[in-house]
Order: sequence, then C-alpha cells, then structure tokens
Amino acid sequence: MVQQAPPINHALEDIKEHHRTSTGQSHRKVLMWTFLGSECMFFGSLIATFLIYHNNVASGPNREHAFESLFLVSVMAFVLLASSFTMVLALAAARRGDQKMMRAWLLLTAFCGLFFIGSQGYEFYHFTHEGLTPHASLFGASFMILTGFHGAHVTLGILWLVSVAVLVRLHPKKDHRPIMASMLPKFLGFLAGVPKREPGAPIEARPRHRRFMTFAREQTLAPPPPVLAKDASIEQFEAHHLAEEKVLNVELVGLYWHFVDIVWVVIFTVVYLFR
Amino acid sequence: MPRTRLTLKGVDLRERPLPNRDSRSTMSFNKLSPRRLAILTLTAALLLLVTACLPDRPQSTFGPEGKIARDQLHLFQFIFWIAVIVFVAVEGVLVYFIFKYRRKAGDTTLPPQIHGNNRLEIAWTILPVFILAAIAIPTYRTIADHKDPPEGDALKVEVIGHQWWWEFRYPDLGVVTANEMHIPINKTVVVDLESQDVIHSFWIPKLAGKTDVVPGRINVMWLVADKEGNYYGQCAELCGLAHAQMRFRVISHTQENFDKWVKGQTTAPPQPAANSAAARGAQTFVTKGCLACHTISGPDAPGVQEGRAQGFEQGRAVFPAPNLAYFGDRGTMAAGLFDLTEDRLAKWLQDPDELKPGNRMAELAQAYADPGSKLSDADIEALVAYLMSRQAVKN
Amino acid sequence: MATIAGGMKGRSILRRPTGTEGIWGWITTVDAKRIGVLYGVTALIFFIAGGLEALIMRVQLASPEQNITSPETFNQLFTMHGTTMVFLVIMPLNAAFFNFVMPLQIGARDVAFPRLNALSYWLFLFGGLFLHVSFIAAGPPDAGWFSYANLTERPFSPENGIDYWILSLQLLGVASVLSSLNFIVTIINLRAKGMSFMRLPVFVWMTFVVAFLLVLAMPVITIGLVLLMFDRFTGTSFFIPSGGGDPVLWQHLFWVFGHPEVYVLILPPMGMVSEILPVFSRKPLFGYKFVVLAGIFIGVTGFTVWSHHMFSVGLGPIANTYFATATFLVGVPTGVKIFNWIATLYKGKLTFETPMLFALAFVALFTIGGISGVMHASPPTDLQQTDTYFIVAHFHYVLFGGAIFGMMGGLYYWFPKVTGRMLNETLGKLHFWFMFIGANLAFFPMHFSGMAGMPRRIYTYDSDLGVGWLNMISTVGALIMGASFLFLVYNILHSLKKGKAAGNDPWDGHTLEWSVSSPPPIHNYDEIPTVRSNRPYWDQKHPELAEHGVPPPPPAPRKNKHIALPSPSYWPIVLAAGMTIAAFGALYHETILPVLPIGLSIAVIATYAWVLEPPIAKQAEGHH
Repeated sequence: MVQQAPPINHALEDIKEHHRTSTGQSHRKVLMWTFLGSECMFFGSLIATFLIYHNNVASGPNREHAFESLFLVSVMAFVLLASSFTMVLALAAARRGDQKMMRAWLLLTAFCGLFFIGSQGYEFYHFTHEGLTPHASLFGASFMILTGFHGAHVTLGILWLVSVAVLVRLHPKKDHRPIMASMLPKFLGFLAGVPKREPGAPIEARPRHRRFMTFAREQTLAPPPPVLAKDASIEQFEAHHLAEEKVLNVELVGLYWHFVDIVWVVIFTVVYLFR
Repeated sequence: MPRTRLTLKGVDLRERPLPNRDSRSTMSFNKLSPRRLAILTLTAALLLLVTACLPDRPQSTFGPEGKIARDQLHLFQFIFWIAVIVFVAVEGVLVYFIFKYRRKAGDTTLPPQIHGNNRLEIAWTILPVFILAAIAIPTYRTIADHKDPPEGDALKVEVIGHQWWWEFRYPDLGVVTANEMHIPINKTVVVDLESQDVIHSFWIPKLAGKTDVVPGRINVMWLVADKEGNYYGQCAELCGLAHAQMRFRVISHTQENFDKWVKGQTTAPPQPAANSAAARGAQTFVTKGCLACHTISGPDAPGVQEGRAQGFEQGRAVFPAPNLAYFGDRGTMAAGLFDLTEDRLAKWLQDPDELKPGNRMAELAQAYADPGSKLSDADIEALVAYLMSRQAVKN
Repeated sequence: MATIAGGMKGRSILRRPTGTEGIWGWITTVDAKRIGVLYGVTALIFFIAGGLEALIMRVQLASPEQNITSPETFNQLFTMHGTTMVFLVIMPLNAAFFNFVMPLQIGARDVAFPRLNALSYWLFLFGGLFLHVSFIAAGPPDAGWFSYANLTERPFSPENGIDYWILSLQLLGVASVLSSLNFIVTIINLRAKGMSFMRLPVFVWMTFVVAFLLVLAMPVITIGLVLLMFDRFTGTSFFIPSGGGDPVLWQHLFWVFGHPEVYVLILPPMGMVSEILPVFSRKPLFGYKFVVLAGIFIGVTGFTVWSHHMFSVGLGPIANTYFATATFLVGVPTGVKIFNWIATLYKGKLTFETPMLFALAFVALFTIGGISGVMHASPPTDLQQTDTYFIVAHFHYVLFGGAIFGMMGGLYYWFPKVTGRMLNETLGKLHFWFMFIGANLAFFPMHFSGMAGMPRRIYTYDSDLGVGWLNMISTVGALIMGASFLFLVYNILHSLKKGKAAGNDPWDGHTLEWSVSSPPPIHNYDEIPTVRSNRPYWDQKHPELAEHGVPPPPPAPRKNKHIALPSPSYWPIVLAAGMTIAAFGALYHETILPVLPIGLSIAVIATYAWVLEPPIAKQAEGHH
C-alpha cells in the first residue's frame, strides 16, 4: 500500500507564510535591538558633552561639592537595578502565563521607576538650591541635560510598563486585541485604583504556599517556550502565535527597561563616581 | 511569458560633429571617442589656460609669496599630477570601454558572463593604497614642518576677528590697528588668532592657508613674506551678514620701513589746527557718539574691545569698532572693501549700509539708528576732514 | 485570483479606514510602494524649490559686485538650498527608491512595519513644510546647512529662522531614524527563501548600510540640536564662549553626524548604479562581493573621518594627521567600487538607454569628485581649499554628479516599474545631455575660482579677484542644468499618460522586481519566489547560464490563496501632525496658547490608538 502524503493545509501555510521571518526572530524584537543601538549613540553624545564640560563650574558648585553625599543616588541606583530584577520576574510570569503575577511584577517595576524619578526630582530641587542650575555653569547644564534625558527615558518606560500591565491579557476570553473604546474605561478605573480582577487567570499558576522559598522558586521559573505541534490546526497556530506576541509585549518593554538601567549604571559611574 | 525588450539604438556618437574642432589633440585614442576626447581636450586646455593666468590674481593660491603658501602649493601640485594620472587612466578606460563594448546593431547574443576576478580585486585594492601612501608621506612631512615656527627672532601679532573687520595688535610694539596688517619681510610672523564674537577664518591666500578664528580659544599660525607687497586676505568662514565683505590687507615692508611704520604708530598723531574743518570734525566725532565704539587717540586701552563685545551680547548698542587713530594712513576702508578716498568716506558716513550691507555701525550707531542725530552734510564734511587728517607723524 | 485582505473599498473617519482610492487612500496608505511614490513626488517638488534657490544664487554671482540679492537673502538662499537638497531632496529620493524597490527586490510583500513607514513619510513631509513655513513666519534660517555655533546663538541670530531650522531637523531626524529602523528590520527579516545576505542586490545592501548609518548618526546631531535649542530657548551656554561653552563642540557633533550623512546621500545612488550598469551591459556586476564589502567599509569608515571638515579649526597636527590618514583610507574602497563598475562594462554588450547614460555619467563624474576629495584630504592643501569654491566644486561633483545623476538613472530605470509606462527616450537623452553639459560647465570652473581665492558663502566678490568670467561660465552651466529638468518634468507628465506600455521587464532585468507586473500588484508577489543567486530573475530567463542552478519557477497562485495585507490607518498622519504641532508649540513657547501640550496630547492619543488597533483591520479580515 502506498502511503498517501497528507493533504497540504493551504490556509495554514498562508498564515505561516504571513508570520514567517528570515531570522525566526520577531520584527519587533529586531526593531528594539536596533533602536537600542541608536540610543547608545544618543546617550554617548550626552555623556561626551558632560565629560567635555564637567570641569566648567563657573559660579556654581563643583563636582566634589555637588556630589558630596552619594547616599541618595546610591539608593536610586539600587532601586533601579532591583527593578531590572522585578522586570525579569514579570517576563518569567508572562512566560508561565501567570497574568496576575506578571501584572504585579510589572507594576512593582514601574513603582521602582517612580521612586527613581521622584528621587531625581528631589535631587534636582536640592541641586537648584545649592546653586547648581543649568544657568549657573556648563557642569550644571550638561549634568542636568544628561540625567534629565535619562529621567525622561525612565518616565516613558514607566508609562510603557503600566500600559503593558493594563493592556496585555495573557488569557483572553473572546476578543484577542481589546479595542480602544473598551479599554479606556478600564484604564481609567485602574488609575483610580480599582483594577479589575482577571477572570481567566489559571488557578494552578497561583502560588500555593506562602513560604518565601517556594514563592521565589516559582517566580523565577521560566518554563521552556511552548512548542507548536507539527500537525497543529490553524486555531492552534494562531493561538500559539498570539500568545508569543503577548509575551513579546512584555519582553520588549523589558529590553527597553534593562537598557535604561544599564545607561544609569554608566551615568552613575561616569558622573558620580569618577572624580 | 513574453518579455518586451527595448532595443533602443544607442546614440551614434561618431556621426556627431566635434564640439570643438580646434582641439589639437595628439592622443592616440582620438578615433575611439571624439566627443569625450573633445571634452577632455577642452578641459585640459582650460586647465592650462586657467593655471597659466591665475597666479596674478590677488587671492590666487597659485602665486605664493611666502613659505607656508608655497609649501602648500607644492604639495597640491604633487597631488594634482598624481590625480591627473589617475583621472586620465580611469576616465580613459571608462570611455574606451564605452566605445569598445557597444552592442552591434542586430546582435542579440549575450556576452560572456564574467562574475569577477579575485586577483584583479586584490590588485586594485592595493594599488590605491600605494598611491595614497605616496600622497600621505609628503602630507605628514608638511604638517610636521608647519607645526612650529622656525627658531629665532619672530614678530608676534594678535589678530582679533570681529563682525566684520579685523583688528591687529602688536603686543611687543604697543601698536593696535585695523584691517591692514603690516609685517616685515623675511621674518617669521607668529599670529595668535582670537575672536570676540563668532567664528571667522584668517586667510591670506598668497602667504598662508586658513586658520579659523574661534571665540574662546587662541589658535596660532605663522607665516613669512618673501618680498614687499600688498596681499589680499579675506574671512573664509561664514560669520553673518557682511561675511563677503570682511576683507583685509597684509602689507609687507623691508625691516627698515616696517620700523618706521611702527614708530609712526607709536607717536601720538598731531591735533588738528584750531578752527579747521578737521577740528570741527573732532568735535562732531565726540558729539555724535562715535567714541562709544571707536578709539581715536592711540592704541586701545586693554579690555576696551572686550567690554564692548560683552556689551553687545548683553544687548547694548555698542560693538567693537576699528581704532581710527591713524586712519588717514590706511590704503583701504570698510575692512579692505574700498580704496580709501574722501568721496568714499563721505558716502560711507552718509549711509554705511549701502556700501556694506549689514554692518554694525549702520545698525547700532546713534547717528544712523536715531533720525534725530542724523549726520548733516556739514558734519560729514568735517568728519571726513578730521579722519583723513589722522595720520602718523612722518619721519 | 488570490484573496487579498486589507484592500477593501469603503471608508469612514471614525471606523478604521480600508479604502485605497482617492485622496483618503493616499493619506491613510501603508503600502510601501505608494509611500515610495509619495516620497518621490514630494522630493521632486522640493528639488524644484532647492534648484531655484541655487539658480538665484548663481545669477547673483554671475558677475562681480552685483546686487541682485541682499546679503541677507543670499545667506538664506544657500542655507535653504543646502538644507533642502540634503534633507528634503536626496535623502527622501533615496527613501522613495528604498520603499518602492527594496521590498520587491528581496521578495517581500511590504516593509516590516507599514504604519511606521507611513509615519516616517508624514513626519518628513511636515518637517519639510515646517522648514518652509519660516519663509512666511520668520525669515528663513541664514547660518548655512551646517549652522556653525555660535553664529546661531541668540546674540548673533536673534530671529526665529534658526529655531525653525533646528526643530525641522529634529522632525526630519525622527522620520529618518524610524524609516531606517524599518528598513533594517525589513532587510534582516523579510528576505525571500534562499536570499542570503550575499545574494542581496547591491542596492538593497546599500539601503542596509545607509539605514545603519542613519540610525547611528542621527542621535548625535539630535543631541547637538537639543543643546543648541537649550541655549536659544532657556539661556544655557553650551556653545557660547562667554559662558564657557565651546563652539567647536557643535562642529564635532555636527560632523560626527554630517560625514556619515554624506555617505547616506551617495551610497544609495551607488547601489542604483550597481543595478543599472550590469543590466545594460548584459553581464553580472563585476566583483559583487567586493562592491558590497567596499560599501560596508565606506559606511564604517564614515564614522572615523569627521574632523577632515575641520582641518582649519586648529585641532593640532596629531588630530589632523590621524583624520587625514583615515580619509585617505576611504579612497581605497571608493576606488574598488569605481574599478568594479568599469570592469562590469568589460566585454559587455552595452546599450545606451537613458538609465545607462546617467549611470555612466555617475561613474565619470563621481570619479572627479573622488579625486578632488583626495586633494583636500591632505590638511596642508585643504587649508588653501577649505571654504572656497574648490570645495563647492568637489561636493557638487559628488552630490550632483554622483548622487543626482545616479538617482536620475534610477528614476529612468524604475519609472516603468512604478507606473507601467516607459519614459520617452528622446526626451530622456535631451535631459541627460543638457544636464551633463550644464553640470560640468557649472561645477568644473568652480575648481579654478576656488583656487583663485574665491571663498564660499559670499554674496559678492571683488572684480580684482579675476574670477568673474569663471563665475559667468558656472552660471550659464547652472541655467542649462536647470533647463534640463524641464525635459524631465515634461517627460514625466507626458509619459504618465502617453508613454509606451512597459510590460513586466522592459530592460531584461536581473532582479526580482522585474518578474512582476508593472505597476506591481499591491501584494507584490502571488507566491514568494525562491532565490539561488544574486540574479534570481535573470537566471530564470537564462537557465543555461545560471550560476547556481535555476530555482523552480514560483507555482501558479492558488485560487484560495490568502494574503493578509496591513490595513490603512489614520494614526500615522495624526501622530506626525501631533509632533509637528508640538514643534510649533516649542518654537512659540513664550506665547500663552498651550500649543505644545495640545500637540503632545494628540501625539500620545495617536500612539495609544495606533498600538490598540490591529495591523490588519477586522472588517478587512472578515472578508474571506
């Protein structure tokens, strides 16, 4: 008996072709990496400007005086670095399909960012009182533009984190991509402090024990990416693809957030530590 | 699937008349490319023609009269002839191929499909390296040679760029003048370049290439003039409205004449006779507010110009202006724009903006900004007489 | 016929647009081919503006001591001419070709991010218009395309023209970074099966290199512009010497961007020429690998030579020696490219249709520009040449004789693919010869007027200089060159209606775009082809000569083939408009009207709306 080749599922092939990329990597991920390359030049130019002008203190305080106490910036740096860790946990949660913890970690990350921005605001206020303003000296101006632009990046990151936390639903019921109209009230409700409970979150993903170690083990657990069966149906393929896209939403903001953190490490070293 | 292939006839260049029938070319590939060759010949002829007559031009880099400019020209000529060889070789092969490998009418076959040749690639990667190395070595040598002025006695001049005129200070001689830089021949002149407003560029084509005049930093260059002469210079960096008219002259003297000039510049100019037109002019000069920007009695005191420059940046109606102490001795006026004559000067005082649009005097001076202080014809006449009388005591 | 989702008729403002017809079809389009056409048409209109500016300058300079324009107008003219030609003509014309040709050449249906692509276009258009609003609102900028600080600072340029220039460049910068990111992802991710990097057409390679150059160089000028903006708007003194600032820092920031930018302008036309020469020689490109590598090398080196624009600044002999050496090195890959182009002709069967004429002229003229470039790569000779007409001659040979000639070749070459109609050959040849003769008459004498001591950017010169007759020749040449474009405009308008039908493959092309109809269908390919060499389509036509075996012809499209295409969207143009309004707000930040917040709010709303709308609209999806 001659075995008949299974009939080609053309509709599935068309969809696969639509999603095919030459490298196997998603477009958005490649975009993000390239964009971060561009951002390197952006911060590189700012840091270079700072290095050129850091000794130009004119009437304002000099570096030693301005950065006498590194306590606050150290705390800021620590919190921001810690937020990179919570970001990793958020991604792990997303990979597990744990909507609730993903949201929790994302919001905690955003909160760390908020703390950072708040501290930076305080720092700027403090410096202004010390006489270190953009007009006092080029040291002040280049310092504030450099850290200010970094702060703007953090702020954008916070907005993005919150948006992802609110908008990304790992387990949609019906509508894959919520439309603006239905999301806006939810978003406003969220801002007002009444996050809606996610009905579709899987029970088994919730931590069973309150014990810390178990919790930690669970949270850091990143399961291997789900494999799509060879004979998957169109529905399965689409569901798989959609799930990947949603995790990618978290991954992208994560890439951006890690980058912003690394930039802070560089700024912290170059601006505050090097004398 | 049928393909439409356009078989448009190539332009038959051979049948066209030569654009220039007089071109007397002796090159052997004449028969191959009449048109291109004509253009080449024309270019070569033009080139010879132009290079032959250019050195006389007052700003021509082909007529150097000092070491720096001469070295720069020699280096240029060296590179130029290498460039001509490369140019003729590359364009020659290009033109040759264009005519040699034209498709014959009716030929529809394909040529051999040559994809490349690694040996050739390596060869023509290495060849330019050698050519460029040949250019690089004399380049480095000239850079090193021009780096520091030669040992020995040198004249120090501070050049300050202003919108849109030049100030020359001789710190060791106590002389300050404008728009005409006097130097002795065969003596190294070390020039410190500073600007009190925007970036300018100091350029005397026959003596030396450009060095930028950057506010906030002092650039140093040096030059030597071989013989007596009157050299044209011009600002070469866009510096605002009257950039095109920010010119100057360098006048080189024998050491003896230069010393005389210095002596004149350091002796107070004579006061005008009482009741003369010049004396009235001296008064007008004061009453019309010219003193706000111009100095009239000997070299500027230190810091005066800087104060005016700062005042301008803070929005006051002042601007650093040329020292007029020995104005009547100058050959030119308005930053090398015109030969100094009484008529021109009168016209200038009438309406400076017409002779040199955008200049700061027309913008800021009370006499032009305020209709109530407008200069009358009598004022102008008196001022001309006064300014022309501002001459060093001849000795 | 295959089902094409995404191209339904019908539209409404509130609902997701789906129509592709009429003016709304163009406004909401996300089709790279249409966006390419938009780029091209816009750039050609700006080209007319920039060209007229040049002609006015040439008339003013025709004889010494003329007063046709005031110095103020003249400064504004060359500033606008330079800025327009660089940012609003050559770059967008390149983008036009990238958009139309590149996805076709790699066997893609569109770029990776179609809506982002539309945003780039609208930002470019609005940025260009923003710059030109300064003609009415403030008087255009007048500090040159390089706008050296501190001439651009408030005390010396109190007018708003400079602010228009700064903000316009910021908008244009965002536009080109976004489009470059898009092209990079497209080339990395959307190549047809079998199209490895070493099988990419050279034009695609050059697109790739240029996109990287822009992505890495643009942030640097962005920072420069931000610092300048702070100086002008808030009173800091980054470039003000009296406040401790260093105007030379601006020059560094500008040229770290500016030199790669020069390669951004010239590499794509090099790519086009590398496509055209082989087709009209009926041979493959000679040394494909080396042409590509040379292009990459030129791109990388672009970041290491910026201070050769600053030899006269006084950076010292060591810096000058280094930058001279690096600049000499650029000569090597440039030479390799020229040699390979010429070798491509070797033993070919050349025909001289208009694209070929332009491509050959590119090689001839670019060589002149390259050689004069070596002359001022040497600092001592550069000190005599910099800021003179010699430099003007040099970069016009590179950017006009090079870039514009190359792109005109590209225009004649791909016009049939874009419109389905041939451009008229007679008119094309007239255009070519007028342009060729005009360009040489205009630019060649400038070498001499420069060496004879005529500086750049001067509105008048003394008759003593003896360069009047050289300038007269230049002016006559410029006018001839200007006239040549009348042939082009007439040719385009005429051929759009009455041109000969092109068919799929009028030139016996090598690359994939010639395998589809002219104009191509909205989805480019019914079936994505498979690739075995860098002449995939040519191999199909000449299987006996194919280098790596002939790929099977693409299967006939199935009846029920479903091709999902991105739907049109309003949000790109809304987002671009929001950013432009915000730029106006920044410019007039001292007024009470909250223009800046309004613009930013529009931008934020548009961003969220964009993110939340699916790339493929529901109503279009539901069709099959």
